[in-house]
Amino acid sequence: MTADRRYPLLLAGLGLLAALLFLASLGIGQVWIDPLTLVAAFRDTQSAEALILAEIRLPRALLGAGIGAILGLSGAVLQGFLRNPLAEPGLLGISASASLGAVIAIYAGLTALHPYALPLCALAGALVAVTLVQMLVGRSGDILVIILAGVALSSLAGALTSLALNLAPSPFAALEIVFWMLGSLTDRSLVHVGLALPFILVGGVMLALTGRALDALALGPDVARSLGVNLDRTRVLAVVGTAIGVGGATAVSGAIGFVGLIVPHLLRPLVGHRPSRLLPASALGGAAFLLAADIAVRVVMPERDLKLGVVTAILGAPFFLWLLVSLRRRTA
Amino acid sequence: MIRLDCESVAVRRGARETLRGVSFSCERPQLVGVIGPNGAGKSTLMRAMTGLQPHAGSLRWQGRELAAMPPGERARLIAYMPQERTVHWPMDCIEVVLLGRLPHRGGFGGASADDLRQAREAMERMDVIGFARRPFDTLSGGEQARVLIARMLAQAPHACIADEPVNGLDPAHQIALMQVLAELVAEGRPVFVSLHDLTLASRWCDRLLLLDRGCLVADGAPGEVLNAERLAGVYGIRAEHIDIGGRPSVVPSDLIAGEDHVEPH
Repeated sequence: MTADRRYPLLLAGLGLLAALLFLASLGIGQVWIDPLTLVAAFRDTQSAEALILAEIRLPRALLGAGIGAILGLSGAVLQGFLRNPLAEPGLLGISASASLGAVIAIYAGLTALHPYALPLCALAGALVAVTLVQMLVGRSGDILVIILAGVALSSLAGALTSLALNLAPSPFAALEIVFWMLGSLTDRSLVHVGLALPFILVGGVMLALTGRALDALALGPDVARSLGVNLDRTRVLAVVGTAIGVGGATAVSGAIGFVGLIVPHLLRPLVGHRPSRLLPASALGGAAFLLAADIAVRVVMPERDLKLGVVTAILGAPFFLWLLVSLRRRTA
Repeated sequence: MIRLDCESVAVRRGARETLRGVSFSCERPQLVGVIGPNGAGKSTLMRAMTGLQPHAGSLRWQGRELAAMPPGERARLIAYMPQERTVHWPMDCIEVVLLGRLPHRGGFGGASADDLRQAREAMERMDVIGFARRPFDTLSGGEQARVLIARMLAQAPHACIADEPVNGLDPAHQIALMQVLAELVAEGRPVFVSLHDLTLASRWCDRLLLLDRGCLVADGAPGEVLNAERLAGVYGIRAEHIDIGGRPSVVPSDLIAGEDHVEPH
């Protein structure tokens, strides 16, 4: 069967998988809610199960799906745009800068003043990072400059985060910072959903608009331009879309690594390696992956608050190594 | 009929001028060979003619300034094939060729039946239809070049600009490619092709533009352009002049001693 005919089936399969994991995410946790009770809870909104669903499970599942989708989508766009299979949202320094914003909010005690303080500071961090990247890159649009600027920003944000830890007013503040940075969806409410989702949607639309340009870029920037692609517009959509979408996601979940790297990679051969087709597939795949990982942290160690970012990194880092080895084997 | 007018086109890269005051016009469909030694400015001129290279002076297609033309319209007018032949992802060859249809497609639509037909026709013409479902990276260099030329043809342009398309092709496919380019001209499209092979250039091209250190030093029929004096002056070589099928052709023979045209390695 060719990639053409397989593609709609793949999208349907990934969509179904994400939907099932979404439902499972509603049911699984300290209190297990079986499917029948789940349906009943929708009718009787006063029951204990309904309360758990609305207050705890639904925000968590919505955030898992939305954040996973934007991480997968942004990874696919950045890999296509930078024509580098090792690119991911963290590469541009956006995750690290968003984390720094959040850490500053915790450090300065702003979190006690207003519940929105932390996510808004994280978002501001992401937007500062993307502005700096855009300024450094300028009109040249040089890919190497984008990558190096991202690496430099990541290091700087990481160093400043360490400084905040170093100078933390109390061990509790330091612990709060560390825990937040690990990345998690625990104890998030619909307020968080309302905060993150608009950014995820806006960023997602911007990223989705790059599909055609990414296809053309497979032939290199000169041919892409000769095919009528506006590379400046594509760069702004890819970089600013990532900042808004992933910035909004990081603002409520903390930095969750490797999803944006792994998911596009696993799916690329299944879509015939075409960058534009990879975008919807990676969004659905990312949602499924993060929902599954978030279910895993509840099932594997229910009594401990295992952090989601830890699990994705434990799965992701070995995958990254395998990727490097297999890339080397292919080029050797 | 497509018309191209270049007037005093100049390109400066840092302190170096890679093109200096290049002026010529092309009023009728011709197979135009762009020749010259390494670093003469061939690729820069071809990029400028495609609208990829900022330049001084004026470059007009159909009397309209290229720099002011909307990118989509430009893409339906001119197809370009660069010297580098990379495809960054191991896509099937048919997918690579279909990329040539992008300027003819709406915002989100996939390839239409017509797109597919045109892509297949282009692949048949370049003798690569058998590779349609093979990943691009499994092909040999010459096969890849032919797939990329099919990609250019699938764009259904009114003019073609190809930078050293015969590099790495075996003699049979070099001749086949020059034949296809000549066919495109016969169908009414001007084709600009940069070449290092002076024999192919003189045998196939209707007209040659000879560049040397950024200047257009000769413009005319191959027999006029490639005279012994210019070959000595620009390339520092001697050549045999022979007759192939009624066309005067040039076969480079040896270096002219004492001339320091070849850069030391």
